[in-house]
Amino acid sequence: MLEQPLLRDLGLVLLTATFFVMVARLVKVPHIVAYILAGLTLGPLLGVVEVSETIHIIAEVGIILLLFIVGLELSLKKIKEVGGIALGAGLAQMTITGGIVALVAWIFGLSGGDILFLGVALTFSSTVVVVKLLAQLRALDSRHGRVAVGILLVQDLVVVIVLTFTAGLAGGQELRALEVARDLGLAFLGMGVLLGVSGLLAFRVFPRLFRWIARSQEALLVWSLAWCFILVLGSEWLELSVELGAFIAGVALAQLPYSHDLMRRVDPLMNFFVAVFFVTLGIQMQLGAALQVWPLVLVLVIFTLLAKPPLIAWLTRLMGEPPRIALRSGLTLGQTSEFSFILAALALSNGLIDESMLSIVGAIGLLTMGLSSVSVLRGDQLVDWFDRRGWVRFLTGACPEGTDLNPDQADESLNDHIIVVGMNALGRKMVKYLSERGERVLALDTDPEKLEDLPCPTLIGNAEYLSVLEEAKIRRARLLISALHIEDVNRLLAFRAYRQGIPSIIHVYDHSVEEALNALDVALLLDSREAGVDLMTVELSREGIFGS
Amino acid sequence: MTGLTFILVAAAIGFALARFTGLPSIPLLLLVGVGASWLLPIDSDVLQDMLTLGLTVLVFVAGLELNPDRLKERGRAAVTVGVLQFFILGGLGLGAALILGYKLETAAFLALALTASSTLVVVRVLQERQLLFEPIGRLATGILLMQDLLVILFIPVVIFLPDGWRAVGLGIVGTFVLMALAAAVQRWVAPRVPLRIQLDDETLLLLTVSVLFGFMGLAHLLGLPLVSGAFLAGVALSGFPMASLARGQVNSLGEFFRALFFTALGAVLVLPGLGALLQALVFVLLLVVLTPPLVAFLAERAGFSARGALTVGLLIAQASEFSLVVALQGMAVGQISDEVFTIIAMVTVATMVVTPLISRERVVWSLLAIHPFRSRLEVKERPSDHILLIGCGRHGQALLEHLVITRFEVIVLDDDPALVRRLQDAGVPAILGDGADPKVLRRVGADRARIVISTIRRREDNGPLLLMAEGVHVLVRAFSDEDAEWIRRRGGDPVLYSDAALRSFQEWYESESGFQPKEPAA
Repeated sequence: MLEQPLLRDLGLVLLTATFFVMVARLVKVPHIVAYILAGLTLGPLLGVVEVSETIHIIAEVGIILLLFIVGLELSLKKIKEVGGIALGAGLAQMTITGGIVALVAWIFGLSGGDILFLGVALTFSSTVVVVKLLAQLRALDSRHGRVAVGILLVQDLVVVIVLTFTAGLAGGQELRALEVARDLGLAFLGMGVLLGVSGLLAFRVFPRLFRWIARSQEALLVWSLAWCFILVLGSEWLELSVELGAFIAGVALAQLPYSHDLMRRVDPLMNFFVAVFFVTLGIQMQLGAALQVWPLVLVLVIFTLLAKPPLIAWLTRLMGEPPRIALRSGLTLGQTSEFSFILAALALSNGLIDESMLSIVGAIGLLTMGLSSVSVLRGDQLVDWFDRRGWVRFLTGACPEGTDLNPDQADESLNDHIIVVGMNALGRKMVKYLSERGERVLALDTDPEKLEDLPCPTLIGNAEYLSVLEEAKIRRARLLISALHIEDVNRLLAFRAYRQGIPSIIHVYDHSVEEALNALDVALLLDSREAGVDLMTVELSREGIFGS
Repeated sequence: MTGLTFILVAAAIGFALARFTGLPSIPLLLLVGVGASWLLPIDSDVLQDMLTLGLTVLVFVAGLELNPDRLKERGRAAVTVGVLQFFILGGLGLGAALILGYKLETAAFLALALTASSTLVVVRVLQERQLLFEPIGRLATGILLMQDLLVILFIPVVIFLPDGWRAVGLGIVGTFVLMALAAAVQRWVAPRVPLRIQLDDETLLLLTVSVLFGFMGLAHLLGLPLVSGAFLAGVALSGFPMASLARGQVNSLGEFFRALFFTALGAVLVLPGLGALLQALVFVLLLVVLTPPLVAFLAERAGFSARGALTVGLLIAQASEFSLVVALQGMAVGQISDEVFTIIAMVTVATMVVTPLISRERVVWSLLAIHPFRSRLEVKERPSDHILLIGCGRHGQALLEHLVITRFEVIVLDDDPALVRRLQDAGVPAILGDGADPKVLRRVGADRARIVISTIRRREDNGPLLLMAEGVHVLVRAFSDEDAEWIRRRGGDPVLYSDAALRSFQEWYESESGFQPKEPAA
């Protein structure tokens, strides 16, 4: 047989991850924790999987795709909106957090080099965790989501500086200042080049180029990913972080009309690769040394989980964000970053720290990443809880009811509406008829041309995707109608409506699906063929054909 | 990372070429892959991994599309055609390979590689033409399922052939066990899961991928090739609603790995010599020339229209991703050489590319002309004051039931030999001819009928009819308003099916208590 260690390892990783995720769902624990536990089981506990080169690449691809999606989501306009806040809050936070961590390390009696290292390594928050969870909550575009991502991007810039410094410190304590300064300069120059090239392409070349290739869905996907990886390779070559490269690649494509569709399609890819990433994190952990200094680890974990969020919230508030937003941003960023592992590995190979530091950093990282996912996912509820106890006040001073309008307020206009999918002749007629009857209607189709000249709001998207239906606010609809000619999609729509508990009307033209659709409680089957034949016979009898 | 990027960029170039030239993407991806490997030697481990992952996903996606439930009424036809075609074509392939001088073990691989048609190509063509759920779509996918199952069953046979019959037997038994498991999951487990558990996208993806790897692991334990597990995992999930849900998640994975796979495949291909090229040509001809008539004959016997049967025959005249699976397996166990692998790859790619071209309506149309059926009914004199029904497909047949009970003579005109034969056998006066041909129309008295009903699909084809039948009431089936207007302008009377459907909706809407009509918007 084909002896494939890759498939075997990958299989074990995915099967274990799925198992832990299913268990985690029962006890309402976030997926990330499940992945890390799965990794810990496979690696340190059972020792059955080792991270091969390919699996390592797969994990890295996860991060790349994640940042690519972030870039796709955010347009330049949105970045500019939060840029100032992120810069101010981010830099201040890094300084303060770094300082406090260093202080704690000093109290615990660590050596100078270790103090400095910990202070730097633990001050960042995790791009991967935050972005993944925000994407899951579909909150990347919310105000607090943008602020959080903005801060993370600022941190990524500082990461570049730190990495350059650390690389320059190779083999000893001497700091060849000139060399380091030169490397830094090159790094920023490189970033500038990357941004410049991407910007040029994004505005001059891509719109026409991508419209040309977009005829084929498959080609569009491959092209977008190829572009992303070219930029990743470029940033690697320029000694920048891959996260930055992927992000810039995404931003360059963000203003194209397909960016939303692209995001939806890259999402499963990303989920797949990122799952592998977190599991490999767990596999590669060596926690032995961390256990020996557990008081230090405990204090730092508590600090990161409990003190970092309020600090960030306070700083964000200072920069002018409303209290709720500030608090949610803070809650989102209460963990350390995967970058700390990378930095530790680099420092270790350059002889600046020893293995116990790696272990400590790893333990803190895993614990804070896992536990903070709870506060990200429950952010809204937590803030409500704080609010009721008046704790938000310390951020604001007295905050009268109602003035703290949550700008994340959902769009209220789609409520109790009728969704009509498929703007062919039948669909269009139904939309017009229902609108005349005073119903609130939303028309959904993949083809923008078919959505023109309609008397109601429209949505471009593929109804097969749950995210599109959610964008159509299916939960608040009172009826779902499909005029489509595609049996598969119709069946899926009937299923989704059934799950949401709303009635559905489905266009059919083949009686074989009747049984299946009736099992899904479809309110009405529109058989256009039968109806057409009926109409024909009416015409014929009017002609006197059916007479004696 | 460099290797991956390089292959991705190569794939992007391949797609650009495809878009530019209008040719299908798969052979261009292969070509670019070949070119890429000349330009820059890529790490062969990376390529191997890509091929492995790519093939696994490809085969899995194929299984996902082949839902046994979809066979329904036409199940027996699909099974018969699929099995007969598999053995006949396999036998011919084996014979050809032996004649070309290959020894039995290698010839068996070659033969097996020719017997499976490509889910990838066929499903895509059917989707593009919106035929996937028409009877011929169901027949085609049913045949594909049969073939793939047979290939999976026979892979252990060809692999273990040198090891003796006991090993072969064990392999077959193991395969049956895996198939049974897949059937059980498909029928009892998979449909229940989405109904019991609220699945978010990520969990759905994980479950899907776990099923894939779980089956592969089982296959490994049973000593079977991993791809058997991958395919059967797909079949296990092919039921509703699991397949639709899973497809949404797996689609991009499939596209991504497919692009990587074909480019990487190009990168590992060995350039063929002239002899290999000629042999490949032989096999290509075997597939493309022999499959359509064979399948068309069998399908027509099973009750399909001649056009439908021929379309299916042309649609499945290719080798497939399974052929590549078989070939890779053969290389792994050392029973076929690099050159044979390249031959199989070439045959696969060539036939996959040719399929969309040869299965076009125009080709089917022109091939129908050499259909052996000759109408036994000849119209002696031009009929008059009759009901003329043009087009007796599913729309026409629904109408026919109503028409034959009237006092008028009903004459049916259709261009499909098999349909006409069946109607004649049932005693209905049916003429074989093209409803857009004025000579034919005159022969059947289109200008002297009491009423003419046309169910011709394309509105332009109604032109000659409307022109000649002035003064006669011509009812024409239409779906869109534009078509109706076009017909009206030429003197026809369109029957708008969309209006008819709308009317039933309106009736429902106005009578449903929960949907009392609201006050019209002010």
